[in-house]
Amino acid sequence: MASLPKRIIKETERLASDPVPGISAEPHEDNLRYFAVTIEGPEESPYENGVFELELYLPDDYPMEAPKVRFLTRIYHPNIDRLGRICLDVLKNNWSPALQIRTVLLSIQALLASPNPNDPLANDVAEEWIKNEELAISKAKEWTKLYAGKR
Amino acid sequence: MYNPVAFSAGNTAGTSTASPAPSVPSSTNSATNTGTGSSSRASATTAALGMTNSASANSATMSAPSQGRRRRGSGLNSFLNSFGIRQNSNNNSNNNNNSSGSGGAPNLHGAGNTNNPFLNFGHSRGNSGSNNSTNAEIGVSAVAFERHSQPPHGLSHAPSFHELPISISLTAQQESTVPNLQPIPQNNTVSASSSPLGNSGTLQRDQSGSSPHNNHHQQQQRSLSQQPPQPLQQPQAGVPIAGIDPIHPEAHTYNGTTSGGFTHTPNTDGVSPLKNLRHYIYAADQPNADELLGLDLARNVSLPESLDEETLQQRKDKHGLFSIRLTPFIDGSFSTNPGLSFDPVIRTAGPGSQLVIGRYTERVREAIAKIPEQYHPVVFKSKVVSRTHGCFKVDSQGNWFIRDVRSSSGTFLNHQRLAPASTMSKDTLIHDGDILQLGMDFRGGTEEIYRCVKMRVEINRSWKRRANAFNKEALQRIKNIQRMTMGLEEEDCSICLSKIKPCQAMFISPCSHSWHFQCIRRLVMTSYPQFVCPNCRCACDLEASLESSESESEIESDGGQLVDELGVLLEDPKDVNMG
Repeated sequence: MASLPKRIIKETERLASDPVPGISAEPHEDNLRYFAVTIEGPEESPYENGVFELELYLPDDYPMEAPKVRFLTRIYHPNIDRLGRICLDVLKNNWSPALQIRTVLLSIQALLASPNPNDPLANDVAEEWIKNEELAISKAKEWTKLYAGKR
Repeated sequence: MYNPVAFSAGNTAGTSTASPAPSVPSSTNSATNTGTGSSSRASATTAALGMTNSASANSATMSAPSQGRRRRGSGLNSFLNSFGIRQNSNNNSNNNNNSSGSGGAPNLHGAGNTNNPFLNFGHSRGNSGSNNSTNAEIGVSAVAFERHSQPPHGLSHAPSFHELPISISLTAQQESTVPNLQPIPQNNTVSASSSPLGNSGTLQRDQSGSSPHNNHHQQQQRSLSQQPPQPLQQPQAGVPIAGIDPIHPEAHTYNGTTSGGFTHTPNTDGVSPLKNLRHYIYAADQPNADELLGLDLARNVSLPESLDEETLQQRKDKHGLFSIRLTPFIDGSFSTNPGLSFDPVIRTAGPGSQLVIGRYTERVREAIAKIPEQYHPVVFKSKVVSRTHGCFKVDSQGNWFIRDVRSSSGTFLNHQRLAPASTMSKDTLIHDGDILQLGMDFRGGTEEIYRCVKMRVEINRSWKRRANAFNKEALQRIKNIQRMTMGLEEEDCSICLSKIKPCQAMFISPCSHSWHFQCIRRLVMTSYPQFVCPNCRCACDLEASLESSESESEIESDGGQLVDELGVLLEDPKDVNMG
C-alpha cells in the first residue's frame, strides 16, 4: 500500500489521543484511509440514546477533496437517504482543506440535532417532517430504537 | 517467469549442494546433506519476500552416499504438487532462516536480512528447530504475507532502512550476481572486481593452507559481486583485502603464514563489466573511503587540497554525510528546449559512496522500494538517459566527481562532453553551481520523454537548508504580525497540520492566515486571481492593486497605534526567541 500522507497520520493520532465526546473513528487494519465511525445521537433530539454506525473514506486527493461519508445504520432523517448518503454542505461544495475528520463528524452530529427538511435528500421524509413534525419525530425515535439501539 | 534467488552457503568440510530455484514463488528449497561429521546447508530464498518462511520450506534429508542427488517425491507428492500443494517432510530439521513477527514477516533491519538481493546489510543467522510433522499446504503467494508483516494498527506502512551501507544493482539480473556454489575440489572461487565499475575478474584462493581465515569467504552470506567493486591490490599480512568486502573488511584478512595465495584470473563468464555498476552508499564513518572509491582522474587533474576539520564539518550534514542537490536548469534563452522537468533531487552519502545515474525502470522501482529516498540512485524518466548512464562519487573531503559510464547519448558538464558515445570517461570533479546535462534531445525534444536532463548541481549545501538566526527571526516577525492583526496565534498549517518552520516557503493571505506554499499552491492556482481562504472563507483578489488607497491613509490616521506597534515589531528583534 502507498505510504500515507502525514496529514492523515496526524489526524488519526489526534483522534485516538483526543477523541470527540460521543464520536469514535477507528481506521481499518487493512486500509488506513477507511474509518469505522460511530456517532451517538445528540441529547434532546429524536436520535438520543442511539448509536449510529458510519463509514468514512479519505480519497487519494484528501484534503483537497472532501472525505466520503455514509451512514450504515438506518436512520429516519430528511437529509439522509435510505442508502445512508448525507446532504451536508461541508461534504459537497463547502468543503475546505482546513476542515478535518473531527470537524466533519461534529457537523454530522449537529445535523442530527437540527434536521433541515427545506434542503432534503430523502423527499418523503422531508414531506412528512414539514406536514406533521410530531409524527416524524416519533417515527425517528422509533427507528432509532429499532436500528440504532445500544446493544 | 524466473524468480531471482539469493543463495547462502554454510561453511562445510564435506560436499555442499545448491538446490535448484523453487518453482513455486513463495517456497524455499533447502537441502540438508548428512555426511560423516559434517553438515552443509544451502538455502534458496525468494527475493519477493526476502526471507525464509518455515511453513513453506521444502526440506529434503539425504544420506551421505546420495552425494547431492535429490530424491524425487513419491507418487502422492507428485500428485499433490500438480495441484499446487506441497508436502513438507521435515524429519530432522526445520531451517527457519530469520523469520520474525507474525506470519513469518521479513526481518529487514540490520544484520538479519541478507536474502533480499537488493539490500545487503549483514550476515543471516538461521535458527534450527526440530519438527517431526508432515504438513500439506497450499502454496501462498508473496502478497499474502505482506499484510501479515504490517503492524495491525501501525500508521506507517513503508519500512525505512537507515542502516548504512546500502548496495544495490540497477541493471544486473539478480541471478547473475549469485556466486557459484558448485563443489570445487581444493579451492573456492568467488567473484571480485578489478575495476570500480564492475566485475571483471575472479579471485581464487587455494584452500590447502591451515589459515583460520580459509573459509571466511565461503561463510559470506552475500554474493561478493553484490559488493561495491574494488581494484585488486597485493595483500599484506593482517591487512583487509580490498575488493573482498569493503562493508565488512574485517571478515577477510590475509594471514602471512598461510601457504595458500591469491591469484587473479580474467573474467570468463561473459558478463559485461558494466552489468554490475553498483549503487552504494556508505556511512559517515566509513574507513579507507578514498581507497574504496578507486578514482580514475585525468592525468593533468589533481585533487583539491585537503581541508581543515572545521571546513570539512561545514560540508557535512547533521548525520556527517555529504549532500548533492540537483535542480532543473532553466535556460533563459528561448532558442533551446526546456529540459526534462523533475522535482529537485537531494541525495546524501558518506565518503567513498558511488551514486548511479540512470533511467527509471520497473527494476529500479523494485530495487529502491525499501530504501529511504535520500539514498536512492539518481534516476530520470527520459529515454535519452541510459539505464546506467553514469555515476557520482564522493571522497572523504566531500569532493564530488562525475563519470560517464559508456552512455550512448553523452554527459555534458558545463556544456563540455565528458566522453564520446559508448566510451568510459574519467572521474571529473564537480563544483558547486555547475550545469550538468544528461543526453541530448531526441526528435526535437517535443515529447517530455525524449528530452535531455539539464540540471544545476549544488554541492554540500546542507548548511543552507538549516535555519539560521535570520530565518528564525523573520518567521517570528511574521507570527508577531499575525498575532497583532488577528489576535490569535496559529502555529500549524491548517492543510498539513504541521508547524511552519524557518526556511519553508509560506503563503500569507490578505486575511492574515498562512500556510506552507506547497500546501496551498493548488488552491491558489485553481481559482487565481480569486482566492477563498480555507480557514475563514474570506474571498479576496490576489491581483488587487498594491498602490496606496484612501482606506490605507484612514488606517494610518485612525489606527496609528497599531501601525506603530507593528513598526516596532519589525525593527526591534529583542522579543524574538532565538531558540
